[in-house]
Amino acid sequence: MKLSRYHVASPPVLDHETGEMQRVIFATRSAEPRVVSAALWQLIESGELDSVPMDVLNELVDIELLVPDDEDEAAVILQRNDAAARDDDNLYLVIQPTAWCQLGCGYCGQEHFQRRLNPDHQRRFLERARAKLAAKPYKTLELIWFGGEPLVGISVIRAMTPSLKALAEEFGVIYHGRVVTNGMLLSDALATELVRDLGVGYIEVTLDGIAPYHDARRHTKKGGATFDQIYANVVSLARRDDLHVSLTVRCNVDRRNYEGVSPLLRKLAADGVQKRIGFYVAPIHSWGNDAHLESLTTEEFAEWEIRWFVEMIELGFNPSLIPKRRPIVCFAVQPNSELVDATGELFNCTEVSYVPKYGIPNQYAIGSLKDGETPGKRAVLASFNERVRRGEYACHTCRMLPVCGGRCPKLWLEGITPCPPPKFNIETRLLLRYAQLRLAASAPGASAGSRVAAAANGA
Amino acid sequence: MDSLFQAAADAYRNGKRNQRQPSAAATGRTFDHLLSIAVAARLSRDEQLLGRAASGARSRALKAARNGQLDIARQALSESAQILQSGVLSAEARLFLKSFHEAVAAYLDFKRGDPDLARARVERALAADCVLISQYGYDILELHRIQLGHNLMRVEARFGEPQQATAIGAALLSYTEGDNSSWPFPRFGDGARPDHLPDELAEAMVIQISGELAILLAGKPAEETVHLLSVALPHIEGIATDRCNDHLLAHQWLRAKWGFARQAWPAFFENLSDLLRDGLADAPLLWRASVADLYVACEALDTDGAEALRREIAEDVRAWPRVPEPVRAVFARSREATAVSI
Ligand code: SF4
Ligand code: SF4
Repeated sequence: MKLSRYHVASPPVLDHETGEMQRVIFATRSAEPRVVSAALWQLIESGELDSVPMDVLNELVDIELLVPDDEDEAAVILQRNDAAARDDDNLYLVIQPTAWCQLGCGYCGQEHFQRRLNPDHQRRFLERARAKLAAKPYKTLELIWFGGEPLVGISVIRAMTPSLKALAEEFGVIYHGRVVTNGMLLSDALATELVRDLGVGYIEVTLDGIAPYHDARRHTKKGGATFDQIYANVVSLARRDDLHVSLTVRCNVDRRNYEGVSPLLRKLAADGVQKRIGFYVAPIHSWGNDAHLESLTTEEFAEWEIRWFVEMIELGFNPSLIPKRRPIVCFAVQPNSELVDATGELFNCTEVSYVPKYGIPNQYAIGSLKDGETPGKRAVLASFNERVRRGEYACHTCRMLPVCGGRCPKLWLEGITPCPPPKFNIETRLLLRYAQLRLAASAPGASAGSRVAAAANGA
Repeated sequence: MDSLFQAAADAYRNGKRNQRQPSAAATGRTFDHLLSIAVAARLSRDEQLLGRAASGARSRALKAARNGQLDIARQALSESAQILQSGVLSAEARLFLKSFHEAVAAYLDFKRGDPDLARARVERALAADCVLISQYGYDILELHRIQLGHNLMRVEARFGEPQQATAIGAALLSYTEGDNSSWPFPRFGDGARPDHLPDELAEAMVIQISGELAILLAGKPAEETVHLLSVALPHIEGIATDRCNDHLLAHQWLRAKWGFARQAWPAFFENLSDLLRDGLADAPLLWRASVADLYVACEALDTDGAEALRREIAEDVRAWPRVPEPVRAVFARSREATAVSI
């Protein structure tokens, strides 16, 4: 057996309770972290497995930190990823009900115009959904309402949801609706309707910092401020006990607003919603434009992200520190997933429709509702794993591949390296998680048992 | 008769309130533990670790196959196959891994609807077990051998050979209870010592085999059930082996089912009461299959008490977790398909 190349080891840290130097090891193949003594790690790293107790070795095999000597690991991970994409039992469909958005965000690459998905297109899309459900035994139908601003097209959501839910019921699959919104229209009444009547269980709203930062970039098309209204909607929804919905705030960050993140965290905490929402910060990438030129470098972002994590933990948020397995990079590689824009064009990516730079017809379009899919077009993005396999991208040799998946097929294709922050701060994330668990375990009221468990299981 | 029905109804109500958890996982752990002791005594550390990696791959394959994700299952199985090719494995270690690999591969073929390939693979696994048991002393693999026999029974049941399946099932029951001569696959019987099986593992296996019979017979017309089940008559009468009486649950179910099929209601209700009273923890499938029979009996009884119980069961069933389709179908078919009269 050999040490898997897919691992990360934190720097050694002194455990004050045991007096031992420890490391947190993260097997990215299984996304499982473990705490081991620095001495033991030295033996494992140098291949002196005969000196390692058998029960420890068994555990390391179970989490795939040790793998067969002759295994081509990259090939195995990519084959697993391919199989996961083909076999996914969740049918993932995205609808852009409208091409319009009230906001004029500086970094947005879309060109908005007044158009809604018309009834004929709605009918054709439902027919496609039916054919997909009939072709394969899915367990869930995940429907994402995306923009433009999807809530501007609420009439389309209202018109289509009963048929989508009926389809799900007909095929015995569970229906999950999600909305990605700017939050402007997310009033109490509309949130209630979305959740109770329109099958929405997840809502994501973007806030780019507190008002001065947010309003400088996420303003209306005429330049009007939007923060107060969106923030009020978010807090109001977060406080509601009568609606079962996951609410996440996304904060897009570049050089111009990264200092607005901490004040936003503090504001949300002061309003008491930190335990009721998810929160994550996302670096701004190119959206077929030059938005990425204002980005922090990934290394800078990664450093800031750790500070935000610490602050979030202190304020009572529950940040996701340890990446999970990501066998499906995104819906671009799922053979049956698709997005329809408000004009009836079909895509297998969320960031390409309405983007002028991609031309007319859009170079990424995979077809249209009228004519169906154009042979070969889906593969432009869907063949991503194949290109990784051929060694065209750094993912081929990257230890994070199992938990990253390669991040973004489109950006790689456009010559932009999309590596996410964990590539640069995973060691610190591991230590942070370890510290978090140790602190929780030694808090008043934690039992000796939970302390031991925390130490044994680490992050 | 009324009092026997009432006793069965009370037993059902008592049983459904009993929240003990199923104990099958604990049995699995016992088997894994005994197997790991056997392996530790015979294989090198390297081989044991490779074996563990292969076992992980097989578990993933099995989980995916059960979930209907056959591409993921195939991929995981190919990782197990890759380990089988490893040059560092001794002949013994390779044979050991091969037995378990072929068993999972057979399940994949079974799910893909290829009975011939599934049978062939189970037979390869059985052949490997024979050598491992008789030449290398892996007594604990006796359980695996019976499990493989049970897998063949499933193949026959699923692919339209119910008579063959029940015959295998009845023979496996006798064999698991220690009767050497009953092993239904003589080509793969080398080193047979079923009497060496630890009691709790034999008990679990007897329940598993009966459970398979229960799925096979669920919803079948009375006459066909009698015809198929007659092969297990010695077990129903408790005279098949010396240990029939040790495996109470399975034999209670057999007797209840026999009573149900022959419309011998006193025997049905009496055995059913004993089976249902303690809840489903020890034999969830037998418990639920018996409730399905009770449900059908209630429909036929046509009394207020029976109707109340029928409604109660119908309501309870809605909260049942995944149950094999033939058992669930009994409730779906309900009244119009009732083939019995009381
Ligand atoms: S995108 Fe970057 S971090 Fe992700 S697998 Fe590829 S190289 Fe690694
Ligand atoms: S290709 Fe990139 S931008 Fe497009 S959906 Fe996938 S991750 Fe998103």
